[in-house]
Amino acid sequence: MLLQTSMKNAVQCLPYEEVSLSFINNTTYVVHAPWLAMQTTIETSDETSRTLAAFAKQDFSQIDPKILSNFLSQLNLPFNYILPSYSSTSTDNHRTLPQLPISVQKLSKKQLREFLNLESSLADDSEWNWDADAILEFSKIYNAYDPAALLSVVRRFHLLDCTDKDQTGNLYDYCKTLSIDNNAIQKMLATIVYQNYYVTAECQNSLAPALSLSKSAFSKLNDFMDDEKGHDLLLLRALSALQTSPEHLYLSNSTKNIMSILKQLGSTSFLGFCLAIDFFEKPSFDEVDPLTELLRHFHHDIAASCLQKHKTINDDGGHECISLDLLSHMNLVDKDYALFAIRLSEVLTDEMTSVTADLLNLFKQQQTKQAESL
Amino acid sequence: MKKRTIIAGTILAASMANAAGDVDVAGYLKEQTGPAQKEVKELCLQVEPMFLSSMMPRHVSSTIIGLKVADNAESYDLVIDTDRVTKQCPEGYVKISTTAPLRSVRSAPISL
Repeated sequence: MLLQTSMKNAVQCLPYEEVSLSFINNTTYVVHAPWLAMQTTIETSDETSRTLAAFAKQDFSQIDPKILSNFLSQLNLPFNYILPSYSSTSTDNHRTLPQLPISVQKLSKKQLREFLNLESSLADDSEWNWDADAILEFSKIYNAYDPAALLSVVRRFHLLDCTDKDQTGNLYDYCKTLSIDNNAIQKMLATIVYQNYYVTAECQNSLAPALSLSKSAFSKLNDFMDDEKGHDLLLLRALSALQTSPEHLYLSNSTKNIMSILKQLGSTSFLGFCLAIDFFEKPSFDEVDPLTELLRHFHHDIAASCLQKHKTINDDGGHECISLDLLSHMNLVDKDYALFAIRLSEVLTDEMTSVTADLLNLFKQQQTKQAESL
Repeated sequence: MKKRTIIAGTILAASMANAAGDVDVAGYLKEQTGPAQKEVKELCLQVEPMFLSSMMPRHVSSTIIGLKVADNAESYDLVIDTDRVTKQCPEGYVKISTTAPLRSVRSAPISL
């Protein structure tokens, strides 16, 4: 029995500004965004083909928004906004804010960092860069704010920041260019792996406070936490294969900060917590983890296999949708509550995009010192 | 530093599109699978985008899911049937499959 419903015609998704489409042939398209280009094969009607062709040409007058929305929603990749809506089944009310030194509307980034008691890092001195008013305006419905719509905008800002600021690619490329002895390379690789070890080792501690705020999403969060258990052991095995133990390695303040923020979110803002989980759980999309690739490049195959196993477990968990799933329990929220979550997300993104930049600086300084000492 | 923002046209388009109507997916499904239809063992549904994105793993790339209702169930369970997803595409439905990415930003080593 098949149910054809009128629901499928509702427009619920709009493409991000950066998203475009190109053809390979009549049924194969490439969807482009700065953070991802994905090839897609689609068996569909002429009507859908016409809309996709119009979207590829950016001929907006010929696009059927309902068909485009349906296409984007089925891709289920970070290519689109989710329009605000109200669901009578999302009944959990979340509105309590922590005692802040100043109203959330006037809170500067510096004040929020102080409130969170963050360590000094590369992300220290900056102003708010995310247009919070635009996020609020987009997600507004019935004089309140839809958490899922808000997530879809925040996710785009996070991905744009990762694309612009994150130094992971440069860090890995830099390591590959070094002509230094194996021990020095091994220590650098171990330092990179250690950041991930710290994140996984702190994971349960950092997630647990959110259980008290999770209301009817409790069992989903609990299941998610169960799925994340034991990942630190894989990373520890990788460190062991690199013949290092955690206590001798450098830990970036940004790595410390991201786990500190996650832990504090769990006791201050369940919306902020869900947005943070979305950042942590964004899939790499690649078959092989980039760090696995780097470890293989230097023939550390055992450590590489540990990293790849971690990636496979995370991919199999399908956790890229966990935040929307948790937020499906949340009722519309008020302005201050939404704004506080947006602000926290920006600070977290600053720190997340600083981890590899910090390591790159460290490695370059080490190399300079070594060269000077010769 | 450039501010992260969204363009006014998108906001307008979003507002207009939203006026097309809200959908209560879970409520709809409950209505369709209530006690009167408890005898239905398995359905294929084309599900709503919001529902889809919150329920389905990324690598299951279709809109088709199996809905199984036990004979004596007071509620229903949704089951993602990957065999059905990959092998069947009923007439009138759109089937989409995605391949490995052509390009993606490299993620920092901070996964949970």
